[in-house]
Amino acid sequence: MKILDGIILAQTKNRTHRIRNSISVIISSLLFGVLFFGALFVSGMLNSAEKYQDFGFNKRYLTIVLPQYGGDGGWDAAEGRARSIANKDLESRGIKVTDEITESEEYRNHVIELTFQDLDKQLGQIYDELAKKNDQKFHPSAKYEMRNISTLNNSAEAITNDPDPLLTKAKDATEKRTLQKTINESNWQDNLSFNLLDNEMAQDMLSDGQSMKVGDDGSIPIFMPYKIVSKFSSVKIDKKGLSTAQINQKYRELFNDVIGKTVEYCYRNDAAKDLLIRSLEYNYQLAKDKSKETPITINDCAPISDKRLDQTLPTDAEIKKPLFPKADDKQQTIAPITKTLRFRISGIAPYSDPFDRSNIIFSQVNIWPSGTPMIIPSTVANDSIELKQIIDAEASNTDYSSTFYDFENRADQKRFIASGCQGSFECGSKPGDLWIQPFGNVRVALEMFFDIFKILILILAAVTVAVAMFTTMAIIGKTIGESRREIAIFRALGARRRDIAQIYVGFGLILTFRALLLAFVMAVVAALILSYKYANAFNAELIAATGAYTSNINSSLIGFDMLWLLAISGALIMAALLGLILPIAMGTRRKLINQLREE
Amino acid sequence: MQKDNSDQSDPKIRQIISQEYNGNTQQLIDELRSYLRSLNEKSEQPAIEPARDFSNQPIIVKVNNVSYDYHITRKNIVHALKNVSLEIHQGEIVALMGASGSGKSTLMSLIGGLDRPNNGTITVNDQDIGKLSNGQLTKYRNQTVGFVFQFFYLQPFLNLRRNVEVPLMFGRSKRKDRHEPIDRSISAVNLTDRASHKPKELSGGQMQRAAIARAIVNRPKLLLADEPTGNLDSKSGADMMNIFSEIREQFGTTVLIVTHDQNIAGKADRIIYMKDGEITHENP
Repeated sequence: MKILDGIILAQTKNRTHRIRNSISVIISSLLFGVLFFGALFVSGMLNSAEKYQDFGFNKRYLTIVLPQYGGDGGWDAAEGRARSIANKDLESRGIKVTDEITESEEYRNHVIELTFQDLDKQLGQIYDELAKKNDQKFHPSAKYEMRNISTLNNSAEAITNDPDPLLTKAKDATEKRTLQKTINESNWQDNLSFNLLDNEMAQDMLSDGQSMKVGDDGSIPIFMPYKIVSKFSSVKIDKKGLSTAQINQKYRELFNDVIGKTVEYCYRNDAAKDLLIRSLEYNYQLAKDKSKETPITINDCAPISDKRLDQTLPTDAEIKKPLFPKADDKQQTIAPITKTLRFRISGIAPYSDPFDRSNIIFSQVNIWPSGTPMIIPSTVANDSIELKQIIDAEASNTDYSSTFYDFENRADQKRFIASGCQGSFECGSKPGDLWIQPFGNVRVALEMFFDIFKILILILAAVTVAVAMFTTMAIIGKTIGESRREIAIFRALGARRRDIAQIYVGFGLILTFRALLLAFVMAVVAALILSYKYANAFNAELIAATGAYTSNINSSLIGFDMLWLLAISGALIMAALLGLILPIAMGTRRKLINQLREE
Repeated sequence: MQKDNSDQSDPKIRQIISQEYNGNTQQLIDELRSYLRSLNEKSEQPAIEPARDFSNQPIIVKVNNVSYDYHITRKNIVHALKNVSLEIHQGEIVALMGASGSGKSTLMSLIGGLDRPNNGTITVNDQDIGKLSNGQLTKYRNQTVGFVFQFFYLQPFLNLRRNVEVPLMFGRSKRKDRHEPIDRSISAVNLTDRASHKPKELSGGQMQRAAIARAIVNRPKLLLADEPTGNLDSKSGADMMNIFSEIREQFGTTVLIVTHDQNIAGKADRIIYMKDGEITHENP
């Protein structure tokens, strides 16, 4: 039978039980609509992310390697050792360890600090063990390798761990929290990490017309996160009610207002000063001569204008003597001295934005913001470097915590992740494993985000295909069961079994194509609605995550990836064809004379 | 050959056959023929001619000692046909009569190539259908025989032309070659003005004529009609027999009709009576 004839006869089946056929079409289309929607939505997100390829670290394939704490018993064991040390310390000074002491916040903080120190020491051991284990090549094509030295982090942590004297005057826990927040913001505690970048790497993050060179006025260039940059600008951004374009415009206004400006800023305490000065020193040395001392200007400045901070400080007598005084005497026991540091803002780092957002995209792109490179020990060659060599070069007992690699392309990065962690970045769950994760690239972050759902999507796809198959099997089986007499008549009129099969395959495919069309239309409508509702917000996330302050890109949450759409369509057609086999075989198997006689 | 004493609905015929002819059957036949002629003359419709002698025509269907069993279950077997033999000549209109379960439909089905006999041979148009392969048998059903069923079995969503086209579809004929046979068949059953109508827009008689048009679209040698008038009123039933007669005249088609209706059978050239899977007698 010719194809068109088959379609003509199949169409009569389609018209016979309209309601029943429509129900089967709707069931299949709902399921496949979800898959279509997923494909459209994911494509839309990835395509939108692609538009930001020229911004931030999106052209790079940065990767962070982070050893897992937990060797030798993990946190609990480390904490046990820390408690023991703390107790011995107190006892050696004649202080009896009571429940009141062990339940105090000061004791608890001290134990946490000791625990971290214990775990930090283990990191060096983990690296040593890994190096001994084999000649594992961690970064065959990494262009740069950077180290995050946790001693610097410790100085930042000191800000956290040393109670600000002002806090002692807080009336209650609520006021204490408010004060702590204000102090933290003043110290830039959470925001100063992202300002030390290799010169060459920094090119991707530099704003137009900016460089990492020391300015003619002696100003030292520095990257600033949005959150801090906004402190120097009169541009105030409130995202409520703003469209993507308007958000973008605000970003650009902010950018134009601060980039290239030399500013002076009051820091609040010595720890913050240390951190900032270290950053400026590093940038200066990168740009100038490393041997020369950095000409940093420090002037007195007016106290911070926050009323809660601008109050009478407690006297020494009012300050309770700490349980665990610092040996190096860096404990802040006096009021913070406000001073000014002078620098030039040469770029905005996408670590923190004026909206102070923290969501999955942002955090995936900036996965380890507090661990971004504090020191870049060296630029390494393209050829393979073994971990052992790095460790040898950097002294294995140093308590560094993480390493960054910069790859030429995604394939190399993927290979690196796979080779370093047996194929999955999630394998850092065991003590001694390394946690390896891409960083800074929106597209990669989204891929990783969707990887989380890969199994879920596969399960959904399998269920969908199975349901479509059984729906087809049921509907065709039912139709054939009701059409035995007709099949017999057709065969009496000269139809071959193949012709009968062709009619019912045609019928099945008509239902399938109806389901596909309906599924696609529903998916497009759903994606359009979602895009209309959330594309602006998504775009804003991308802007914030990449620091794309010069762009005016409109995002959409609907994208047409033909490969995916064809794959889903193919899956439905395959499911339908599989579902057709059994009922057609059953329907054409019976003896013709019996079929005519029995009806 | 036994005399047929089954019910006769026509009182005139009852009167003729109830007369005493003292064994002179030729006189009885002559009287019946004379009566049928008078009926034909009265009728506005072209009527079937009185039975003719086809013995000089070639044999188109030869059934020789055919037996056929149905397996209801493994142990429960129905002997549907028992050593049945018959011959049908080309152009003959033959009626198969008998009670339900007598085996008449089974015999027609075997002649139509719906299955092969368990024993014996069936030769149609010089083809021993017992020896045909499945593919050849399918082609045989499509090309050599045409089926007409009691309940028409037209496709409700296709118009008359498309319905008539169905066997051509299965015969894989070219689309451009289909117009002529379709038009010819529709014309043969006088439904040209209804060609674009769907079955639900046709009367019962028209639907059966459409089914006949479908059956003859491939110009089969043998037309097999299973209770073709069973679902029609007596007027439409009579029309149907006239259609068969016209088709026979126009295309030389041999017609085998399975019927319970003595009136319909009476218009055939020959009536074959069956009982319990055997042919009991023939008329004339």
